[in-house]
Amino acid sequence: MKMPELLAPAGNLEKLKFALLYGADAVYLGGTMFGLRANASNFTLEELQEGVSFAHNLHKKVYVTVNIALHTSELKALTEYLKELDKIGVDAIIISDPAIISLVKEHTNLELHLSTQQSTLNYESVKFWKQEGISRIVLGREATKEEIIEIKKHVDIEIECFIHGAMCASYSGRCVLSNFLTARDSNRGGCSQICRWDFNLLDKDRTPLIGEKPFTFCTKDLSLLAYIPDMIEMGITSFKIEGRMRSIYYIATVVDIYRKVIDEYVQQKESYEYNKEYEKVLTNCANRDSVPQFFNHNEGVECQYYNGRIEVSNQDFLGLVLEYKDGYAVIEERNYFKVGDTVEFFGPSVNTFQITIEEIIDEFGEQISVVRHPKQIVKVKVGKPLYPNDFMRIKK
Amino acid sequence: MKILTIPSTKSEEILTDGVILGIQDLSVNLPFYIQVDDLNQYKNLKKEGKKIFIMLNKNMHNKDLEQLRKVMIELEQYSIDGVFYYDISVVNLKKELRVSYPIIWSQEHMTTNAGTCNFWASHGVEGAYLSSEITLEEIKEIRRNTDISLFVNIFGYLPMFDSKRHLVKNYLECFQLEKNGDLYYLEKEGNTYPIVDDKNGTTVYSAHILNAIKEVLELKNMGIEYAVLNSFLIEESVFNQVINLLQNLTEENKEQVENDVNELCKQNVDKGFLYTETIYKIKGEKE
Repeated sequence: MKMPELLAPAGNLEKLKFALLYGADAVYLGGTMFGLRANASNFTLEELQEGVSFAHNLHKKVYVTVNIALHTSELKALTEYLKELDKIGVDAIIISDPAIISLVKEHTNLELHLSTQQSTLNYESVKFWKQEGISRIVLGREATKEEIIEIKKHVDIEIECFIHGAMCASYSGRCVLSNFLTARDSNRGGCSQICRWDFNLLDKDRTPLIGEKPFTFCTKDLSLLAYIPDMIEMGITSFKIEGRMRSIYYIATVVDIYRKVIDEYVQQKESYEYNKEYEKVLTNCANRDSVPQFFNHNEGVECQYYNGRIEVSNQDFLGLVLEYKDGYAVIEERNYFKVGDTVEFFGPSVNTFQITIEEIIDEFGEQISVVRHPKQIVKVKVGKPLYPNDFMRIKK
Repeated sequence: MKILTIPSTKSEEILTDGVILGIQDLSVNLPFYIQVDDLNQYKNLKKEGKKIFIMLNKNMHNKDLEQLRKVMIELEQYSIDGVFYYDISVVNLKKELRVSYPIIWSQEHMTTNAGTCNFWASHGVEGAYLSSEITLEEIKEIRRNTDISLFVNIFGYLPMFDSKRHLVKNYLECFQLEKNGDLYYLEKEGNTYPIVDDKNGTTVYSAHILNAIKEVLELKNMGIEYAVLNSFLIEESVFNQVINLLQNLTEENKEQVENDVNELCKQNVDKGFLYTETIYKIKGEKE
């Protein structure tokens, strides 16, 4: 059984570091041009160099998205950009436009992964791309378990599948609602998420069809937590988490949970049991319902948010550990907490544990009972050692 | 320049230079679909020198491949002028099956640059059906930088969204409303967008009809080989009048023709993105 790669999003350098420290084997990110998340912070070439060095020092990988629908005027600048990526030593680029294949072959030694934007869902397409020198296919999110198995049976190539995060309501690449409704190009990084808007639905005679809630395209998120053992057995190369715009807390939490599940299954397959507690942590962290979607043919009404979605901002993330000294954790506050709260600490070098907060000391050395100022630095008495970049969250 | 239509009915009478037809279960976004042997009905068109193109633009799953292979072999018997493809399986199967008809790159919203036209040309692809989300200037730039035949939409409602999900069916089911037919509309801020939920999934179309009839003169001057009119949701008499106006279009009467087409379409028209560049990156927007 081969250990799959856990691949996490990195919207900026800080997120890259958190993702890798919390257990991702690789990260994917965008540069300041040619990527599909134009509004994530994204990486300058200097930041990218730093990110690649950081990852390579940990023997981990960095993939760069170059997956917009290109326009002719960009092809020259793209060539120069690809040469820079090659020089920096990124481990692969993720493309959707095959014009890049010729440029890469002519000017660089970059490895090529095919983006989910191509919605690859059958083995004949996979065969074509393999012949073109693509080393990995990110399958369309509509792929079912059986379809993935069938593709793997026909073509020996690395397969990458999304396991967690938001879903497009459409086939990737086949939605330009954003272009038409907001003049922002969804296939060039400008998606304004029209799929989350409400609409009135009318019949063919334009009579309103009124449900309790308005029509929306909005789908629940994807979570394949329960299917990780199946996916490992299927020989899927890389498990991809969506969310370059998400917070460091979200990235760290999701990576941490999937890392544990993968390791637990690979290390002790016979005794592996699905841990419902992990599912709870993921649910609390995202504040959105998630389902397995197409992987297990779950694509009907239960995948939609027609019932009205209440999106409460995440209050679970209480603080970031800055240091640990003399039995106290120095914590930067992110959400209100107080003496008496039961909280949980987790991090790359600690086994998750709980405490009930007994004592809090503010920056003036005064004992306080409540922490309510954003980014306030306080000391919390904790009996076990902690390390910088560990997280404190509320225990639910 | 040849004028092609996407017809709404299986009529043998075609007023333009040719038609684009879809095949049941292998095509999406079209007003109707045929079986391959229905092409027998269109044989007279070939005698009249008209062109017949087949649109195989579905996202193919493994289970579609058997039918795709069969259809691609059968199409060889019908002297068709080309097959449009979205899914790359068509390119691979053309090679494997050694069928002789041309194939045309038609990845809808992603057919946006000359470099990719040339990539596909190097794989024997003979044409590209350009995205409707690029400007006239960008079409010109593509023309200057590629030699393959180019197809451009000039009239009709434009597809904006395609999903495997049955989004209308799901909504109606959720709120226990009755599904009656496949065609519905979405309404938002005074605009209504046609939405079709059929066997293939869900497609959403633009609120306005693209009217680029006047621009045909410029497209012709650029050397664009094919202009396409889509009849979806357009009354037959209106569609025929639009074709008639197009066939009599001149440099002198182009403004009048444009106004006449707008009138026929009850002013529910726009120029799509021919003169409007979409925003690539929103400056200053918070993460």
